[in-house]
Amino acid sequence: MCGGEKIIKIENLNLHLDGFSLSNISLFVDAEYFTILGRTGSGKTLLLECIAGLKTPNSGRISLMGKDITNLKPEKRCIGYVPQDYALFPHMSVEKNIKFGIIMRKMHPDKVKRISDHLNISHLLERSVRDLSGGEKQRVALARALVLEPKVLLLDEPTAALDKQTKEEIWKVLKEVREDMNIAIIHVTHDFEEAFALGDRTAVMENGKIIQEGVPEKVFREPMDDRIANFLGARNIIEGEVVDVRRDVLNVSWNGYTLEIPKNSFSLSLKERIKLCIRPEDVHIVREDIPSKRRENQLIGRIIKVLPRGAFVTMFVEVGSEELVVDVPTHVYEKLGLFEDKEIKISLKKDRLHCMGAVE
Amino acid sequence: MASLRIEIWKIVIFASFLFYICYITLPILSVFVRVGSDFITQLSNPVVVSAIKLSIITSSVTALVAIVVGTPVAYALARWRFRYKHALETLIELPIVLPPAVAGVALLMAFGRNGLVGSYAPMDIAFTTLAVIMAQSFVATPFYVRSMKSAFDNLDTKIEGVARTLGASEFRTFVSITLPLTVPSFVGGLVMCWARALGEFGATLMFAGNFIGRTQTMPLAIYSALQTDLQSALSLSVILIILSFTILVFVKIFGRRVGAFV
Repeated sequence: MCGGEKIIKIENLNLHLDGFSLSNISLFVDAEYFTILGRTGSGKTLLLECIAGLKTPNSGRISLMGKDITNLKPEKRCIGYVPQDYALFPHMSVEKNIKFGIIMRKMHPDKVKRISDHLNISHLLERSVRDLSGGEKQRVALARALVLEPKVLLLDEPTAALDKQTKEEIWKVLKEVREDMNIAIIHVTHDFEEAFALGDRTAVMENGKIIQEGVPEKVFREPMDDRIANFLGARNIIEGEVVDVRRDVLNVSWNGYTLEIPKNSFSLSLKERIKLCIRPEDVHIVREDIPSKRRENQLIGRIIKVLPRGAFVTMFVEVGSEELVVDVPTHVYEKLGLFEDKEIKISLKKDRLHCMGAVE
Repeated sequence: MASLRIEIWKIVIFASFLFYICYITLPILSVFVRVGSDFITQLSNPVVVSAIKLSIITSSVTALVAIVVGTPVAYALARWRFRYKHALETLIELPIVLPPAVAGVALLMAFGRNGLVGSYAPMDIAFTTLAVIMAQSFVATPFYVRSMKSAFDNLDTKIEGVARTLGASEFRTFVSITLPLTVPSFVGGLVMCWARALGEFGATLMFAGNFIGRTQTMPLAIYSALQTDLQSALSLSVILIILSFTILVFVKIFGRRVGAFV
């Protein structure tokens, strides 16, 4: 009963509920993995519930494959929904959980076995869902939704309750689902690493509004304002003054240095104060041992604190009167013999320095 | 010094505990001691038999009415939003704390021969078996409603939501997801309601009177017999004690077994 072209379209959706509003949400999701990133209380779950049909919007339109489903009952849509904490049916076995939709929709019970094999949970079918681990529960919840071959899969914080290793395992499963099933996946999360790891495209949601949307790389490097920048982990936010405007480059004076940044869509004039941001991993250490072609925006700083994080090391570097956060791969950190209090030369890559506009 | 204080504290707790257990056990034990050997023959006493029969019938009807009327009420209280909901909820729970005698008088004022509603009724309501059931329902139904309301409250609505997305209609979801998940509260609430109806005395006496075979339930029969025939009163008491104890044990065991799935 599901098939054909896979597209979901949300236009100008508005919902007011208990003093909270979803305002003017428009989204267009094709057969792709779409992540929506937002803090707790940003309205992510409410948006998913609207798409699933569990909440009716006050205005706006939701269409599935070109058909208006805004007021269609949830059982008449073909949308898979995996809420946070899985919401498995606690009084049923794993198999009965997965079979529930098959019975309701009168589909062929063969599919239960196929999806269980696919998600590697065939050995759990007889078990009670109460005895499963978090990762197993998530797989069962996925199987229960996917067995109906929905056109759209909605995932609400699917890894929020899992430890790091299980989380990555589920990421892998989700990536496989994306590759094998050719459906629209809308995944909401508060974890920017997750949104980055899985999303073909990503959107940022705040206070019931979609405030930025695009490919993850772009959203992560080019946040719209400092609130989003902080939320997305672009932790170095600096304010400088425009001292020179050239054809494709701006010169900005900051902290005694003159930084070169690409000129983007903002129309900026001389003497204007602007906000810039750069991600900690985009601040590079200038290695004197390797001759490099160009070293843009070189600064001299002193390491004041070091936090080993496993694969990389987070350093807090004092530059003049300001502080920058710098992530370096652990092997680089070790090779360069860095330590707290050491003076280092760092470089802010020109095309990674993002201008968020003028200071208000 | 410190350890001595802890010891004294422990002794206080232990003594209170022991005192309380004795305080409950002694009276119950006394009934069994005094009941006499003709307990079984008492069971063929027509007054006793009719009281038992009437009690079982009326309390069972009360429980049934609670299910039929109380379940939707509990559902609405838990899931719907409407004005004055808290006030209405308090009103619904009022009979739990209201003195039963007051409940009886109130019912009489409403449904008695000269009552607000009773004066228009084609037949007498007060002092009939129907009045017994009404009195019991009035005081006992809130126990069921309260239990079911908290069950509906505590059930994660996301579970029902998922069932809907999987193709189950609202009704199917209620039957195959909501109800099974509220079974422990259903049993607990129903038994509490039934037990309260079985023990109902004050409201029944006021509103239904004390007529053998028609309105004289077990508690009323005990009250009557106490003055004339102590052995009958004791026999009925023994039956009620055994019944109450069995109910309680059943609820505890069943609740533990089923309670695990919520």
